[in-house]
Amino acid sequence: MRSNISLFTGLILIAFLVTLAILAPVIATHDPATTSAEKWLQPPSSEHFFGTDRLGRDIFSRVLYGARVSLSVGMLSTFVSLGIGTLLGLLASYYGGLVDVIIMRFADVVLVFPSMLLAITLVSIFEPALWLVILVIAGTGWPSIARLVRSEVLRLRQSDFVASARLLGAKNRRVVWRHLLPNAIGPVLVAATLCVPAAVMTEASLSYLGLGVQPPTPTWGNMLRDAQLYLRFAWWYAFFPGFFVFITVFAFHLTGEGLRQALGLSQTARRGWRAGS
Amino acid sequence: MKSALVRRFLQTVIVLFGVSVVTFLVMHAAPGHPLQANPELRLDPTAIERWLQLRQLDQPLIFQYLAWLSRVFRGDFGESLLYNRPVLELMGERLPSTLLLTLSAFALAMFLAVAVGIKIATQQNSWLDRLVCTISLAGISVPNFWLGMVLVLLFAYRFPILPAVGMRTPGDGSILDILQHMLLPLLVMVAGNFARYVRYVRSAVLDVMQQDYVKAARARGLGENEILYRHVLPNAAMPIITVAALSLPMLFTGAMVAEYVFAWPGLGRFIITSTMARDYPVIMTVNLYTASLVAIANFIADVLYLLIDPRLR
Amino acid sequence: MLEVKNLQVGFEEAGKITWAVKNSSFSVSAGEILGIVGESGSGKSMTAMAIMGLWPADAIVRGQLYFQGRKIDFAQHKAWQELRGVMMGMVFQDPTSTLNPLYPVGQTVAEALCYHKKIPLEEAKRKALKLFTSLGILPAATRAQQYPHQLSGGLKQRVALAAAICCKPSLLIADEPTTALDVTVQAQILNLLTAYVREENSALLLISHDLGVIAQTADRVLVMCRGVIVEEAPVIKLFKHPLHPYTQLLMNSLPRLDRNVLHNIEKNGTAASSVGCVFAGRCQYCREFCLLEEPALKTITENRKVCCHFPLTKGRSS
Repeated sequence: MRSNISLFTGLILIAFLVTLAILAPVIATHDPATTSAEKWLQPPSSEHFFGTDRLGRDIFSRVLYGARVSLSVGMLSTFVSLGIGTLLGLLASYYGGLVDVIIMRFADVVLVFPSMLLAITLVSIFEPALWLVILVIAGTGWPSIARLVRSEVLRLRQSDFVASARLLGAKNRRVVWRHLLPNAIGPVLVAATLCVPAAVMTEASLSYLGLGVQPPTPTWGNMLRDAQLYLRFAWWYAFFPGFFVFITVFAFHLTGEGLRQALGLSQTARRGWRAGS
Repeated sequence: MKSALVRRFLQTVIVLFGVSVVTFLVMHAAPGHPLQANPELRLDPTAIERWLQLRQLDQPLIFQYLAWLSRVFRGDFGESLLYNRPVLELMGERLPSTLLLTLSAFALAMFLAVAVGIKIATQQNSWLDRLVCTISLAGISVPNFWLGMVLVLLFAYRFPILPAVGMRTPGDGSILDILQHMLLPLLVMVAGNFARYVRYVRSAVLDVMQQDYVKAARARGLGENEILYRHVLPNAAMPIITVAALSLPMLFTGAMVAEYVFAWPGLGRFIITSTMARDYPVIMTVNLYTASLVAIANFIADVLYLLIDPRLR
Repeated sequence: MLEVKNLQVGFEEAGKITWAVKNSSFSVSAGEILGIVGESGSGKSMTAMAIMGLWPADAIVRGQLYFQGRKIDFAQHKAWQELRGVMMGMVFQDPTSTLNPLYPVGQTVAEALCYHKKIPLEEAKRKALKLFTSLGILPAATRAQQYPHQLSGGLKQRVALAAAICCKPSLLIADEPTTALDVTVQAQILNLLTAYVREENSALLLISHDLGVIAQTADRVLVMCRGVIVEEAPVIKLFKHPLHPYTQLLMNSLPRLDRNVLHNIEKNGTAASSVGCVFAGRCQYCREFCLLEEPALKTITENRKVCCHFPLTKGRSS
């Protein structure tokens, strides 16, 4: 019952945020880039729902456009790490031996780096840009997916129903597509759902540190970076962008949690990620 | 026991080796060398040549790697391009304040999480359980830098009872003063980590409480305390240790951002300012240092498993 | 010794209560082995858990329980805690999962002794070793130091038995104690259980789906079907002449050397309806009346009870 509530609330929130992002040009009350010298740092009003920033830009409109960046970074980087992670996890579990050792040790190596540290290191080498942020987040996110896919496949391969499928003469390809993947999909789906909020958070942190998506593109992170200097005078400047980061991350966590409960997976089942290490 | 220990140890060595290679290659992937990274410096080409030769940067990659590795083993991590001082010295100056913040945040968050996690696991679905679950889900969703800003807004500006930034008031290094400065960054770090840990502790304890051996212990008439401390907790300790080790990188990430928000003079803020200045020797060393620390912590966790669980021996 | 009256165990789901055990009443006396048989889902284990006070947190339990003349209140968990381990012991189905994997098996037994008898650990360990020897866990001193994963299934079940009887409870419940074991080991465990009952004059509630086990061990048998006790009889009489069609069906499903056809128990039947006999949908003698009226457990002859409108007679049994 409760799982349905969190899943439901999470999905509604996500749908709401995605709608805001897609319809940003329609909903926005002002142009996010238009500055106005006389209207800087105005508190929230009926004209500017979330107030204005240091250049007199409308924060409400900028937050809407920021949703586009955050959500696309979150989802695209999740797709990329899901792709890389699933592929490498399947390869490792399918071939075993040396391939397995090399892939999994490489995953171990990436995992011991704090992801933000690795991200800012990579960003420091190249010029900060949207695509780089997506790739960097994906680059630090794939190892957990790869580990999960590998341990799921290994677990399922030893299960009785795969053995009976083999006894019935199913070919390798059929075993993988008809038996392994459909059963491994639940935990992977949950992991992917929980990958999105991590990516949104990393993007926001990077932009906040000035190492992510660069101005003038409005993102929640770089709005917060600007806001920090005016924290004492304009609470709304920092409050609204941060609140949207929170709501977005919360929505995906709720969904992931709801999915996990709906699929009957335990949180500590993640222990499996260390299996064989 | 011994063979398992040796295997884990070898794996850790392999990971450490991988860490050094990755760090080295990533740094090497930097477009051009540090002198070219800053186009404003119009340097004489021959001077650049001489500079490269001096640092053996004109040799094949493998030699450069080996030379770098041997310097690392001798404790020579190079000089900061920004400060013109040995990296190790600069890091050494900043490490204590980072350790102070990180370790106290970790210890506090873990202690609270274990206490609260056990409490709510033993009364699953009570109002307290639901409350903690919801708050912790919100806790892992709050960006820590934003939480920091909100706290500064509240406790430094609106109700000015705590300092917003820094580690100590100039001229005052008393413990009380440091504690005052530490309170806000500590609060931010504890909040996020507590939220993460408490969820794991709860589900680890719940998992074990559903096991047959707990039911059997009840059937033997043992008291709830004996069951909790002798049967449930030792078995729940393993996933909790796993989480502690796995969350170390996140702890560092959290410390980095928290230090930046509160201008805490530690390693985290140092790495961020160094990154913006493209101070490669510093970036490289900090990467190597934290990644190795995490790898070693994972090894310690593995050793703890072996000590706790006879099935692994 | 133990008297159960109108025991009901149910689970609430979406405002509707599904009863796993419906209005069961029975008793066990000292020195008696009472077998409970029935297919999976018939409510045998729930009955056992309710008597031990170990039902799942979301279960609803009603009825009266008298243990050695004392009434036990279902609402008071405290009362049970004083009984469990000392007056009531329990052996479970799977010895692999019922022993804590982190402790040497000797410690599991010593811990219970230590806790209940308030004796020092050293003395408890000595007593545990003595118990191990008497239960054939040999060599006791070595075995006591070993961990569950190092022992065979049979030895683990002996350890579990040792932990259950170390304080000499006057009621022992064994829930499918031999199901997870090899056939060769089954008899040994059953012998140990019987020996304990005879020596200590305690009562044993033996739950099994295996009629062979029941026939070998029990003095008296309860047959359960969908949460209802459908028949109660001394073991020999039950096997010679079952009164309830369900009992007959159970026996016909046993493999026999003199027949080459195995009878399946048809489980489909009609969906569970709230009125009528619980077995009506699967009963080959079912009449219209059975679908409408729920039969009560009635006494047929001395110590034979059956819950059927039209009990089998000798002529009708196959």
